[in-house]
Amino acid sequence: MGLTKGERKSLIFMLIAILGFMPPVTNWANRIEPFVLGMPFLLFWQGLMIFGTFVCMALAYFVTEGADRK
Amino acid sequence: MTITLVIIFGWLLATTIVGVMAGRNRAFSMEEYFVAGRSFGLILFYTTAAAEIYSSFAFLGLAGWAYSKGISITYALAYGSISYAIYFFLGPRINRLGKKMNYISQPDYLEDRYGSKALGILVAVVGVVFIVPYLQLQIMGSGLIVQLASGGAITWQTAVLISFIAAVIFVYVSGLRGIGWTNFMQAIIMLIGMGSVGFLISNHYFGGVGKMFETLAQIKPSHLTLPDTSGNGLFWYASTALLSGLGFWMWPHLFSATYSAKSEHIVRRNAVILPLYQLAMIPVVIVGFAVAAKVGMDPAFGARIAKPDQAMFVALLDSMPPWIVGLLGAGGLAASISTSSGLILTAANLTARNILQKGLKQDMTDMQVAKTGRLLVPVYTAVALAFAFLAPSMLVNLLITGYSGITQFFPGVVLGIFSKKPTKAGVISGILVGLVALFTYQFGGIKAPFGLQPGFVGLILNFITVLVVSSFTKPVEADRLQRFEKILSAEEAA
Repeated sequence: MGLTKGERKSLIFMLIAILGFMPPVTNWANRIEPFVLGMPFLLFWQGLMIFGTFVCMALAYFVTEGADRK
Repeated sequence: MTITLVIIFGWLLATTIVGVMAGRNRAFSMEEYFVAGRSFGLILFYTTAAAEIYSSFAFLGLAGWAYSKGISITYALAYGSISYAIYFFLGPRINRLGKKMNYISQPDYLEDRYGSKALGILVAVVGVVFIVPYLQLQIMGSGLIVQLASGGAITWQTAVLISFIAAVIFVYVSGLRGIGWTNFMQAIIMLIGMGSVGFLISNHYFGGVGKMFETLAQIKPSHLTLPDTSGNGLFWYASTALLSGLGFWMWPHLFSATYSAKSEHIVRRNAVILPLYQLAMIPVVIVGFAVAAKVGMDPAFGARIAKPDQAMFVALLDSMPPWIVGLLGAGGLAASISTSSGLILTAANLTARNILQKGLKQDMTDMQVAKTGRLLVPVYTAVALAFAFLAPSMLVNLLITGYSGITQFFPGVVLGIFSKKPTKAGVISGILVGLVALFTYQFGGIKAPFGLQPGFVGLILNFITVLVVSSFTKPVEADRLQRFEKILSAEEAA
């Protein structure tokens, strides 16, 4: 039971992905301007964080695989 | 109008044929029927998991909420991502346990992990109780989509009957494999339809997404920041997103879908790429905002939208040629049916496997479980249809508590994977305390503290109960713990 060595190293990526949607980050992102890609900032931020989750989990994947496959 | 209907029902027919064909030349067995023989590769598992998320709510509800309430709907963007980040750690283990122990349902795991038949049956019954209203909602949503897309030419009842006869056919014949392939079909039409619709409508009314948002920011800025027009603030947003994110994989149909992946690597790679599918929700949210802006400029347009759920299709019919409306209608119907078919199969699975074989009728063979489950597919569909036609609002209360209710499985499931401490008495009482707290807050007229989601409070009490009760009740047997430890701590098979 418990996480593997690689997974423990990867936990940070999960935290980044989740915290990006949580206060206090969202307190900061909770604004209309500046508009980015035509979208109000809060909506843009959430789209960016979805992509960010993908990037975080991809990093987690490589870190986990790298550490556990020895 | 005719073009719209030809596209919608043509797509339904194509989906049904693909679904039926998928099960051809497969030997019928319990494992094949309920978890597709644990054979799904990267793409088929991806679309299976992703399509379950896109229910009729994603179609009608997202746009309707953005239109009527504002940006608090984006909790739906957040919770998907949160759930995938957690799934990265959880999913591969669920898949591995399923493969090693031949689980085919969620209660299979919980029952075995804590050595408690009562727990298995409790989880199965609670699962079915929350699945049926959710299924009813999908049924009504699918009918509404076709009725709206056809401009009222087809009533929702007719649309529902046609659609669900089709769904029963392919689920009955092909089980989860049929669902997997129809979900693949759905993903194609969704990505095309959803991807384009937000931009098309904004372009039509405002000459671009940017101009649309600038207009909305002037006439209704409260739609674009939290707390939004509905009053839902940051705390509501964060707690709802977190609760739904934790609860997501606790839905029995999503949990058992994890068993269908060929290997835990497939599951883990999916946790990486699943967030990307979420991006397709943004255009739908944008449609809702576009309609809000349009109504702000032209209040007469708002009078045509009787309920927020109709916002997207009212705008589509007003602004787009019939073939685009048809494409979107087909996408919406596909979204609804793909989610429904998974729910139907899972309700049948829980009943045949956990309520009957492991409960009331323990002499059943696995083959009898598969056959009984298959017979229950039309039965559960008929039950949900009956609720939809005869008592549409009867189960509404269960529906609003559905997500929060399902989330009460989280402590038992997760602690069972990562900790040796919880006992069966702890997990059972945790689930019960969580559910009681949830219903008390939801229906007892008591406000949950800090404006939190009632289910969130239930979840915290649930966790505390599991920890406290487990500290003084009989621990799980040593040999059982050892068996799980051996499976769970093994390094991943390369």
